[in-house]
Amino acid sequence: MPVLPSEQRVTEITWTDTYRINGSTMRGFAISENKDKWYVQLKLESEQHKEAFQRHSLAGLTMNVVTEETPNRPKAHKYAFDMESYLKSNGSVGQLQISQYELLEQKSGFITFMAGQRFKMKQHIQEHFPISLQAEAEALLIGSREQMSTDMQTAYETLGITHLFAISGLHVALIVWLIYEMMIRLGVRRETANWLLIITLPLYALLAGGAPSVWRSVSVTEIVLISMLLQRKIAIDDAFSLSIIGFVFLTPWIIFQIGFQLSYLAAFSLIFSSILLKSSHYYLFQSFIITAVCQLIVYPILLYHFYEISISSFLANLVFVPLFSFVILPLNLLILLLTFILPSITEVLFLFYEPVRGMLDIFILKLGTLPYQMWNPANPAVEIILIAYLSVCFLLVSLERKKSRFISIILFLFVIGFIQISPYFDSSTRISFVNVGQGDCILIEMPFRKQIIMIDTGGLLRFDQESWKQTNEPYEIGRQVVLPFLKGKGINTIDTLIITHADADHMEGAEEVLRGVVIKEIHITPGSGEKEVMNDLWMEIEKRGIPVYEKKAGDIIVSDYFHFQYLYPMDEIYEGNNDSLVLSMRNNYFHGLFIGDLEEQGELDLVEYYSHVLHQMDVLKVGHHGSKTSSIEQFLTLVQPDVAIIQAGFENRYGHPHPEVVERLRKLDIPYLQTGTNGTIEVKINKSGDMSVMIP
Amino acid sequence: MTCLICGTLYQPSATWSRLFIYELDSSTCKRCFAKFEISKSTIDFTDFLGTPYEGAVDSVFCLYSYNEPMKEYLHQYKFLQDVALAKVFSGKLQQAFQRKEGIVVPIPMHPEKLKLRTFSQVDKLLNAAQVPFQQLLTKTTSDSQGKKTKKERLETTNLFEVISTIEAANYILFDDIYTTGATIHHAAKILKDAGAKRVDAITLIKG
Repeated sequence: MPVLPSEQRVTEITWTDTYRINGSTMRGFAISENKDKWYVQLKLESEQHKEAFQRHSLAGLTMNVVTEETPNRPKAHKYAFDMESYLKSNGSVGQLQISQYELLEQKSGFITFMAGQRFKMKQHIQEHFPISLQAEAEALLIGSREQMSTDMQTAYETLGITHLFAISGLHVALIVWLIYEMMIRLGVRRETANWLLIITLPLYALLAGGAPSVWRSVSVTEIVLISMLLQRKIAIDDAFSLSIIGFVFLTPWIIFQIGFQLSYLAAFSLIFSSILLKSSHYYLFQSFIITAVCQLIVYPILLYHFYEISISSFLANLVFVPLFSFVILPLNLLILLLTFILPSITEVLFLFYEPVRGMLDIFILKLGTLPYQMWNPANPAVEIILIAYLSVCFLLVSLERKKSRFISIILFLFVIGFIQISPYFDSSTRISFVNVGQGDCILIEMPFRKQIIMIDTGGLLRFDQESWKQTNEPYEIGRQVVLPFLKGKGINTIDTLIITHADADHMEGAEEVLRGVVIKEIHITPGSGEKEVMNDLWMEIEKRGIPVYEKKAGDIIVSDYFHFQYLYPMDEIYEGNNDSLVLSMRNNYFHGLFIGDLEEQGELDLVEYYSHVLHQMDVLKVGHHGSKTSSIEQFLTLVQPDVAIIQAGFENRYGHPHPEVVERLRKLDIPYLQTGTNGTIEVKINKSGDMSVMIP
Repeated sequence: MTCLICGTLYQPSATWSRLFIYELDSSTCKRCFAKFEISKSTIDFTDFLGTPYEGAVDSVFCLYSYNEPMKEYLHQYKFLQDVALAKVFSGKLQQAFQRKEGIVVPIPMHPEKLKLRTFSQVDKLLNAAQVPFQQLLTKTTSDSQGKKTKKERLETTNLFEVISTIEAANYILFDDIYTTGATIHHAAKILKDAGAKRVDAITLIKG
């Protein structure tokens, strides 16, 4: 179906300091003339524009733009990144797509000025720090984590120490202490020093990027300092409450931001745990309690947002918190200071520090690959989250009062146990056709999660682009769509991964899936392993020692609930789409057929050899994304499924599903759904064999 | 808040219990409150063996020992009539009473003495701790036990009288201070004689 040109109009926008230039697009928040905040995606016209835009801060830049309405594409699945909630949590009214723009002027103002200073600071770091240390320096000094590599971020997440790179109470305390001590040494009166702090802290917050954690610590400190000047020192819990009230009053949408929730919850848990923290004088034990209390209070919300939590964080934090607070952070501050006054000394310093820090990176990456560090149950329902919070509060109160500790610990463990085993109670079979854009990915979960089969992993066909248009980190279906789907369902192990054939849109994401979950065995179609597109995947397979089997017509997958049999290919010479592995899934109540990218010839073969079994089917995964070279009438007439599923992307470049195929389906009264337009489709077969099809 | 004992401004520390559970407030700063010493001495009734009071009291629980800060506190509260100080131990007393089952009976004051002091320090402690109680006893003599020797104390008879019917139930006697135990034993015997099944006692201080 051709895309109708959507409504176009010219409007003036002013960029905020939250934007990012990546590849050939600039994305971020901008304010329209009527003061609405929009999320803007702008296609840069040329390399020259990109270079010019990267040279200085664009906050306050106004342009006249021609906007296009953004198509309302469904999100990949319910566990995937949700644009709508991202917009909501940033107080944005919607998205604008921009292809034409005209620069007007750069507005000046205090906030713009501070954004400019932050930008200069960033440039300063990039000029003076060695490349390997830039990402960390940017994170710790100006609160920008853009440069941090995905590998490192994953390792930090596994160890549960990402919070060390968010500027928060620790940094602010250190900065406050430094400034204050410096002023006192210089003979400044304490009251004057207080005043100066009150003025400089918000400036620091702006320089540090103004994340919720920064504003939390700065605002709480401000409130306490002001109350001291007024001779009425306020209690820390009251200062904390005032800070939340102020924050939510000024920017109500902030309560949806994960950073806000985690930062305030963790600080809240520490403020109220004064008795627990005092229960030991040993440093190690105290830091263990700090981590434990923070983890307790955030675990339900972490599971809600990320479906997994780091178990090793209890140990990792014992080592890394002191290392970062007493060595790495002060060192970064010192180096920054030296780069301004004595640049030559920093060169010498880097000579020693860079290799040492590099070794630490290698060590952290190694630690991150150790198994069993993450707890990844299924995404708990909201009611479970509430019960989890009740059990946590009960536990904290009882530990503090040293009363009914046994019951509260049992209750707490019971809730955890329930979250862990709840998916294993599901007696239904679920087949999910995951919306991976233009590509196939099907997940089959057996009752009580006895067996997990995945057919294809989706993937991208990558085109060569001019170098300036390349993004820093490529978009990866496996990492960004398939893994979150598995994590959201709490699936850590796949028994059988079937790669129907060697095409990027069916297997390019497999590599990332292998890195994220345990795969017991892989089935491929004969001869497809030699294809060049499989090379990266082979490396990953060999690293993990996963057995790979070539399967063809007649082979089966052993299962307690269904008869899984391959119907195709019949020969062993790989010739592309028409050698896709075709899988039939059948029992007394249900019959499904997944035919990969099978085209006319393959379908004719199926009709010829399996006409006695392939009729009155329940579900058919339509061949080749609904292209007109598949789904021939003879085949469709034979299988006549209750529902046909087309795995084709939203407004894909191939025009799948082809109108002719749609027409054939219509003629035969076969209802169909498309993952790209309907989102991830789930077919559920309950205990008694009733089938239901669910779309988001 | 202002500490009732030392008068300085203080901030009660934030705790989970204070957040989720309604607790009576002691209105004292941490430093002052920490000076009171939890009583660890065990109370034995050997002095009463072989006397008519043997077995009158089933158990006695005293919260604090009679150290210097406690002496000062009691002086300020009882003799300088600083009734606001009744609040200081409200939380701890409430907890102590929650652990025991029974009808709470405060040791009464003689009406003349009450007139002099203007308030009954024992009743006020219970009121502050929100512990319901019944006035089942009345004092027959106005002399204070404090000025007598232990022997004299035990020999005194009929310090109290029952003014209401006593059921075959559990009773908890409450007094501010337990010194020799004579007062508590007198009161307990009267209750037992009147039909009480079991008599326990709680006092704030072990003298």
